[in-house]
Order: sequence, then C-alpha cells, then structure tokens
Amino acid sequence: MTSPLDPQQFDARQLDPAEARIDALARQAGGDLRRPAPTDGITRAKRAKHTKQMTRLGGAGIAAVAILAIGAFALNGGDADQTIVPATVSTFESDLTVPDSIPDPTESAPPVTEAPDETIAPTSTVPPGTSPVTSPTNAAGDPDVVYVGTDFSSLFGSEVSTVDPTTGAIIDTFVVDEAASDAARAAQDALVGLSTAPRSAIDSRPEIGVLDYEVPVGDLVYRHTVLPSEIPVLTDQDPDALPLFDRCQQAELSVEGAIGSALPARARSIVASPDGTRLAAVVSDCPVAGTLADGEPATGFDTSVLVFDASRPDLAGRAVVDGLDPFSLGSITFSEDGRFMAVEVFGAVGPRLFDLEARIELDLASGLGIDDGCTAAGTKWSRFIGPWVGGSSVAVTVSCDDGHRLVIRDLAKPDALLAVTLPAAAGAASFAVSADVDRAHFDRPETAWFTICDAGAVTCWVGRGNNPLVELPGVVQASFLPLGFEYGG
Amino acid sequence: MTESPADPTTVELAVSFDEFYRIEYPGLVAVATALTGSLESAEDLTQDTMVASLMRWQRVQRLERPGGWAHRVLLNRCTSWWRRRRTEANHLARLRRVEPSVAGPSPDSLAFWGAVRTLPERHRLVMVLHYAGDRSVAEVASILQVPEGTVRSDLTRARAALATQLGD
Repeated sequence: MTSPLDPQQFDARQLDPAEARIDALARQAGGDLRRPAPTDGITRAKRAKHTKQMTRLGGAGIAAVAILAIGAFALNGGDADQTIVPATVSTFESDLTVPDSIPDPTESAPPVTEAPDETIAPTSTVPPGTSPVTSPTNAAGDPDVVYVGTDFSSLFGSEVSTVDPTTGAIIDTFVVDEAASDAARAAQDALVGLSTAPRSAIDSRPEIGVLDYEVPVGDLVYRHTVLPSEIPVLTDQDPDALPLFDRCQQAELSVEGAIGSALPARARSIVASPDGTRLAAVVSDCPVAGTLADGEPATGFDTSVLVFDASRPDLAGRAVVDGLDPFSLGSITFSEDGRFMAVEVFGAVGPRLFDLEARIELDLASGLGIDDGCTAAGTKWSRFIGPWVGGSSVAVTVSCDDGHRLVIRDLAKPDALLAVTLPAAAGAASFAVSADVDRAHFDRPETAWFTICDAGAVTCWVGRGNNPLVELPGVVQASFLPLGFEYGG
Repeated sequence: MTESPADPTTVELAVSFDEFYRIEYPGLVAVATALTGSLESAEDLTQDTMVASLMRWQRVQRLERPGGWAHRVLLNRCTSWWRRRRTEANHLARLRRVEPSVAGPSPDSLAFWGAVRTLPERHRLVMVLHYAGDRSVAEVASILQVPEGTVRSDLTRARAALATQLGD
C-alpha cells in the first residue's frame, strides 16, 4: 500500500508555514495512535465469528416461525437478521418481522444489456437474479409518462423526452422552453410543505439579511429568527444582526397565543409536522456565553432535536436526538400524520427515523441484509420532502460494495416493503445512482412506481413493484416529475 | 476452532484474513482512537469491525479495497458509539471512577486529536482517515464517497482551522 504521507503524493512544502506545522503535527500524532495488531486478536475474531454464527442459527428458527405466523411473503429468504430493530427499547419488535427480499447480487447472473445507443431505445428486462413477480394492482393508478434526460441537469434549452412507463417507448422529445421550465418548477414547489407545516418568511426586521420565520399551528404562531444561509459568512453580516444570535448561532424562539411556554429560549431552527401536531426545535448546547456580536462562532458543540406537542408548548419537550454535530445535521421532516420523524445526518446509514408515538428509533437498514459498510441517500426530490413518498412510507437508495438498491418501506406497516436491486452495469462501474418514486400514484410500497438510474451504465430503469424492470438506455436521469428546472441551476 | 490443513480453501482463506487483520489493524485502531478519544473503546470497536469483516469475508476479500470497506464499517460503529455514549453518560455520571492509566499515545497527540474532534464532521473524518488511518486522499474519497477534490479542500480547511485553534 502506498503511504499517503509519501512526499511524492503529498508535498508539505506546498503548504503555508502554519498548515505545514499542522501537517507535521498530524503525521506525528497519527503515527502515535497506530498500534500493532494484538497477538491474540485473530483468534478472538474467529472465536467471535463462530459464536455469532451459532447465535444466528438459533435466531433463524425463531424468524422462520414468525414469518409463517404472519404469512406475509414468499420472496427470497436468507439472512436471519430480518427485523426492523428499534435503536432503543422495543415495544413491537415481534410485529415488525419481515423477510429479506433483496437478492444477493453476487449470486446473480449479469444482466443482458446492449451497449447504449445514441438514441433512447426502450427495451424491457428482468432484473438479474429474480424471477418475474407480478405485483398486485396499484389502487392509486399509474403514471402517464416518465421524464428522462441525457444530462445530469435539465435546464432551460436542454432536451427532455417523455417515455411510456410500461413499455419504455418514447412518446415525445422536446427542448425545455419557458412553459416547460415553469411546469417543472411548479411540480417541485408543490412538494414543499408535504412533510413539514408551511412557514412564512417575513423580511420586516431592521437588521439587514435577517429573516423572521412564522409557523402557524392552530391558534398559535411560533416565531424564530434565522440568518439567511445555513453557514453564513459572519463577517459579512450586518453588525446590528449579530447580537441577535448566540455563539452557536441560535436566536430567540417564541410562541404567540400560548398560556405558557416550555420551549427553549433560543434555537437554531424549528419545523412543525404537516398535520400541525408536533414541533421540532434544533437546539445547541452552547458552551460559550455571550453573543455573536464579535462575529466569533463556537464550534464543536453538541446539538439536539427536541420534539414538542405543537398545540401545547407549555409541556416539556423530549430530546429525540442528541450529541449531533450541527454541521452534519440535514433536514428534519415528518410523516403526514406527524407520527414519524426523519432526521438527515451526514455519516449515518440513511436518515435516522423515529416513531414519536412509540418513542423509539427505527433502523431502516436492519433486517434487509444491508451491512454496516453501506451508505444510504434519499431519492431524486428528497431535498424538498425528505425520504417520504406518501403517508408513512420512506424511500432510500442504499449503496454497498456489492451493489445498489432502492428500498421503500412503510414505517407504520413494516412488512409493507419493496426492495429493488439495481441491475449490474455491463462493463462499467456504477456511480451517481439515483432513484425517484411516483408520489402522485403511491398506494403502498409493494405497488410503487419507481425509476432508478446508474450514470456509470448511462441507463435508467422504470418499474412497478416487483414487476420486471423496463430499461431506458442512454439516459442518466428519469423522473415522474417534469424535468426542466433546478433550483440553483 | 481448529482448521483442517487438508482443506486448501480454508487455509487460503484463513491466511488472507490473517494478513488483512495484521495490515489493517494499526490504521483502524488509530482511526477509532482519534474519533473516540478512548483507547479501550477503540480496541473494542476495531475488533468488532474485524469480526464483521470475518463474518462476511467471502465477499469482503473480493472487494477492490477491503480495508476501505472496513473503515466505513468502523466509522459507522464510531458514530453508534457516540450515540450510546451520550445515552449512557447521564446514567454513568455517578458511577464514574478513575481508570488506571495505561501506556498509550503521548499527551500532545491526545490533545491534537481532541482538537480534531471539535471540527465539523467531514473535516474531522478526513483528518482522521488521512493522518491516523494512513489512508491516501483517493482512499479517503472512496471511503467517504465524495470526490477527491472535496477531500483535498476539506484537509486544507481542517488544517487551517487547527492552525488557528492550536496557534500558540
């Protein structure tokens, strides 16, 4: 293995003196931490493996009985670890037993695909390693078209095609004009507010660049002040604005119309569930007193997500997540009925999911044969709506070293599950895998319409439930929403 | 468990894992130590990662970078460790006692990695993987699944932040 500290690879002389000093310090400190493998380590690892295998064999029998009892699935069996495991105390573990429906890509024959053509040539394929299974009828209906593009972004002036989702046949190819761009933007805007309650930004403060957010919930109005961007350049801020924030960049949180308030005095951000039942406040344990008046923010502080009954801010909230790095915290979104909450955290295997009624954390990956080395990401429009695809269902793409999967699961009915393996790219490494789920016609995971794309293979697929996938070669993005506009594009 | 030398597959598999263990252990335990600040926990987390690797060894050994896979597993386990530690902290506060000191990294090194742990998560991870884990920029990018340019810029920013923090 080539050392990353090889001067040919990493030349400290290119660094400025301060950085070079840190580089040298880091090399020394890094070397100081490396210790040789313990002499008995391998033996202990093999003994632990043996013990775990024996435990799994015992667990497999219990799992098999549970599957027979609920009689839910007859798909690909295999891994004995088949339960959505609450991260804390389980109150319904036995109800969540589901089969592993993900085929092992390493045991699958490679897909028979033709080299991508210059044009979009629709073909229908069966995903490798699976026998065609006809999904039940989708009670919510079917989409008319899928929008596909040959570029990663489809902006004004780019070419977009519509294809038939059942055959892959091209219906139309057009250049994005103003009307198409507006339609795409409207479709994306319509997603906002589906997984959070609407909030209003009010630019009425005298301080430049600072906004007040108002979140109305019934007769109550929550108010919170925010800096205009997530990680602002504080020295560019209006000096009058900085005293509004503490060193963890938190501002006052208030509620109008309530008899009392148990809310934290300051918060980084707030968000309410779409049904107005719950309010989440992101709060940092600010270690430094004072305000941001001198423009010096604190770093390395712990951040928590507190959840309150949105109609009773006088009742104490509950810390659902804590110990977070604020810079690794992404969006917070809710299921339609506010029962479930999704917290995006950089470094976690997918979004962290919480059942706020049962007061447990759910591990979406557990029970699906997805190991610790995998990473998970949202679907194409999750930046607007989080992982939610309808009701209480979530969708994530899971990338492991042995392949990529789209997983759709109903958190309220965990046996309602769809797991689709991305067909292996022929002669190309998979990368930039993305997926979309048709929210407009979403009934339940087993009948969901979805697309999944592999930029490495320059191919997308469209499918419904476990039906055979329809291949769309020559494209790198496919969506059930119109393409032609991207925020920031 | 005794392995039969008559079975060439078993012997080859065992040797491969043994080599993997000896090569990857120093870097993994350094990464875990840097991220947790606890020598004891780092050894446990590294050993758990090794067991996870052995459990899936038939698949792991076929990967282009088995060590990269193991580092991803370890990072996930370190994240879980922090979660558990936060939960347990309140309960254990009253039971805390002084642990006997063991030989380990120098106080300066521990102070340095303590400073690294105050950095934003990705800056922290690139510093730890690159300097403690002895992983190249390309390997760090592969483990974190971000472009190499992002790793380089994160390293630059992290070093600059540390230079300010450890200025004197």
